[in-house]
Amino acid sequence: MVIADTEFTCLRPLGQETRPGLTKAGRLSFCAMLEGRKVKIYETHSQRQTNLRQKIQNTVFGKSFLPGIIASEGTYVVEEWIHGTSALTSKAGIKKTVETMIQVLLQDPKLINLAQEQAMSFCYLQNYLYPRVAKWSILSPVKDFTKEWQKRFDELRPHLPIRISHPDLSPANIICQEASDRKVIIDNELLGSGFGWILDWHNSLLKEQKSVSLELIQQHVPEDFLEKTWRLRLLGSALDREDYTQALKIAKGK
Amino acid sequence: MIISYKHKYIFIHCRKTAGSSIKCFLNKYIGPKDIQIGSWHEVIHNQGSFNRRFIVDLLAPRLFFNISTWKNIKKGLCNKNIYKQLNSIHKKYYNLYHPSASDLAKFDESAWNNFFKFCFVRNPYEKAVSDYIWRVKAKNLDISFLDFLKHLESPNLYKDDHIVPTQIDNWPMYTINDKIAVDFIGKYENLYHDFEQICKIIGLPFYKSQFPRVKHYADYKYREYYGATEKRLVSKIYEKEIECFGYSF
Repeated sequence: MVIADTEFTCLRPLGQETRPGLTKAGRLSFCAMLEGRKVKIYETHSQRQTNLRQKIQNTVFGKSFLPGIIASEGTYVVEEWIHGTSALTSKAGIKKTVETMIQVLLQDPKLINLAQEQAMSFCYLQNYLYPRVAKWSILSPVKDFTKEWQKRFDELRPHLPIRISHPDLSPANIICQEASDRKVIIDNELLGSGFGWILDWHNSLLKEQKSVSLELIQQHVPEDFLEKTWRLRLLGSALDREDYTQALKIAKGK
Repeated sequence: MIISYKHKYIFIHCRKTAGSSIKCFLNKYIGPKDIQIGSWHEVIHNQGSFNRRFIVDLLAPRLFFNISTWKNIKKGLCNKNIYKQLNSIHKKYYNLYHPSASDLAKFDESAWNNFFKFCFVRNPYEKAVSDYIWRVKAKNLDISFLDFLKHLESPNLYKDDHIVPTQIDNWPMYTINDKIAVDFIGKYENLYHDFEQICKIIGLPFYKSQFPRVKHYADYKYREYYGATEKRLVSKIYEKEIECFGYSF
């Protein structure tokens, strides 16, 4: 595979077990080799999302928490492969790291400007979560719930700020890099600019009751909408694993 | 449609979603190289102005030395609607009327990939009535709403009678292969709020008082135009938009 005039060899599929090489968003994802080094190649939603990924790399957040970019072209990004241990095995301190990450994403003025400049280059809610659930509208409770969510979203959208969002900040996606001891986020396919930040804390799956970053989110998002959006996320997961009983329960709010 | 190289955005003008009003507003900030297709006459009537690109396009040899250009200008001078005629002539230069997302992606791939792309959608049940009222007035037609919808349902049967618009459904204008291809879809129902947010994104000031309403013909209650057949026809014609945005009667 050639990206930005660089040839990558030994491609192996990443992504889901059931659909090797494809992420849940239906995009390509591989590991490959470049001059003896392992790299990760993934497809983005659009070139604007690729542009955003590149620009984030030059910020403090990018330098601190993201893998280096080796190449990018069109809708493909090649990142260095991060060798190390997953935060899943050493949960201690991970909450603090995730808290810092979310707070930087929501508050760093450079990232706020970048979010505005590259606005909606990939919105986790509008480009991923909602369409993923809405395609199941053939099930009436799902249809009713998505409609209800969309209605509330339409009311609130004009008042919601646009921010950079990373909806994959779960411990499994944070690697403590061997070489530097730095904590690095390895799944960046859904990194975007839009309204996805609403669920960044919930998506980290840390389930802590008290969180400064959650409070930051709650400052802008009414509780009922946060709850609805999290239900939308759970509904998407239930539908993905074909657990229709659970999906219908979530859609009906039981 | 506007491609703004100055402010790095693409505005897709979906039919009957306040597109002309948006163009009039955006005209205040239009750059000399920006491309605007359509609504120029409305822009001028709302104290806007042509940009350099428009003039250069009109002076292109294939328009300038074309007999139909001069026929249109003559017609415009006689009917006192010269700006409307210039607008029509300019549309011919690009041969894009209400272009689809895939047309625009081909037209300027770099802008399409890198610029912020937005459009507006509207509840199809209301949009159909608005379109009907506009066409009845603009084309001076004597046709019922039900017949109008039947024309939209089977456009090939009636393509020569000027009732069916060139673009019936807005869906292909912001989707490619049935997937949404733009960055932001505002709702006509939230026009001011959504447009204000868009202005923030593209870096333009927004003042509600400066937002013109260009094609406002009459206040109407769209539900009064509907019986069961009309509802069925609209839900069939605009099925994808209704499904995607959760619109209901």
